[in-house]
Amino acid sequence: MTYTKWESELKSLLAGLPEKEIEEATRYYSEIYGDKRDAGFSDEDIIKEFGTPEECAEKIRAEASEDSENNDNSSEKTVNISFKIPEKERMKKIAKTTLFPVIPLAFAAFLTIAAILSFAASGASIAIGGAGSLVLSFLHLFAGDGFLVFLSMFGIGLAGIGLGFILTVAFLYLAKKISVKAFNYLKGFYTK
Amino acid sequence: MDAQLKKGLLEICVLSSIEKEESYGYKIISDLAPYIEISESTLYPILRRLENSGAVTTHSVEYNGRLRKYFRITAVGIEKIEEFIETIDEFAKISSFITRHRRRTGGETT
Repeated sequence: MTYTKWESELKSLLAGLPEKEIEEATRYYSEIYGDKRDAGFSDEDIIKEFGTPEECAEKIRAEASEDSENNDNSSEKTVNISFKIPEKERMKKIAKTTLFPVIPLAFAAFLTIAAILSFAASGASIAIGGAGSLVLSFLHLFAGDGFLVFLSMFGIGLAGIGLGFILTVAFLYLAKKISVKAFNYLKGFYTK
Repeated sequence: MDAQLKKGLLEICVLSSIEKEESYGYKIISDLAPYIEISESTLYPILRRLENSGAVTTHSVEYNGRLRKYFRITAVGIEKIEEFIETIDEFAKISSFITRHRRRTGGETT
């Protein structure tokens, strides 16, 4: 067998591998063939030392598949790592490219704060009602409706003002806290 | 010898053969021939692996009207040799322990 025939058999046995891989392999054997010829070896001796094209192709293919396996493993690692990203981190990534996760969260925060503010408004109305009751108690007193009527209405008025004040302050405080927390949470999606 | 072990040993042998100066396929085989059996078809995957792992760099030089690919060792390659020497030292200690142990027990299994 001549070297040309040996090389052409090797090429056909490597079919399916990337073109660059086949070119590298044939270039390597061709270079060694040239060096061996320069050193005085015959074609027959050189081919005998190279081994059959099947043997050489098998070794080249084994190395190529080992390479691609290593590449597959590394991509698998990347996938595993990406699955391990915490929920917030993954949402951050999405939020940086789209508003999708932020809009429902902002809407939920808005609804919660609105509900709390309505409770605060209820507290304020109780306090106003209490103040009204207080004014009425004096009117009843001056109208001569009796001291007991004045006292009961005065008491209800004071209790209303107190309760209304506490509820208003507490719910306003809660609304403020939730607003700040929600704002910082949503801002977190766009900062490191 | 275990195939994987031989593969690793050959890699280090190839790296050692180019540690002092760059070399090419045929010369590497000729330099290693007196010490270890290595064929052209065995050397090729080793060189590819070393190149892919960054242990060697390559460049082509024209010689007698054809191209010759030269292999040059990198810092990664030198590190591989140094790691191997450390491993060999550890192996020597383990080997000495096994030999002494066998001598004491006369090679009998318990």
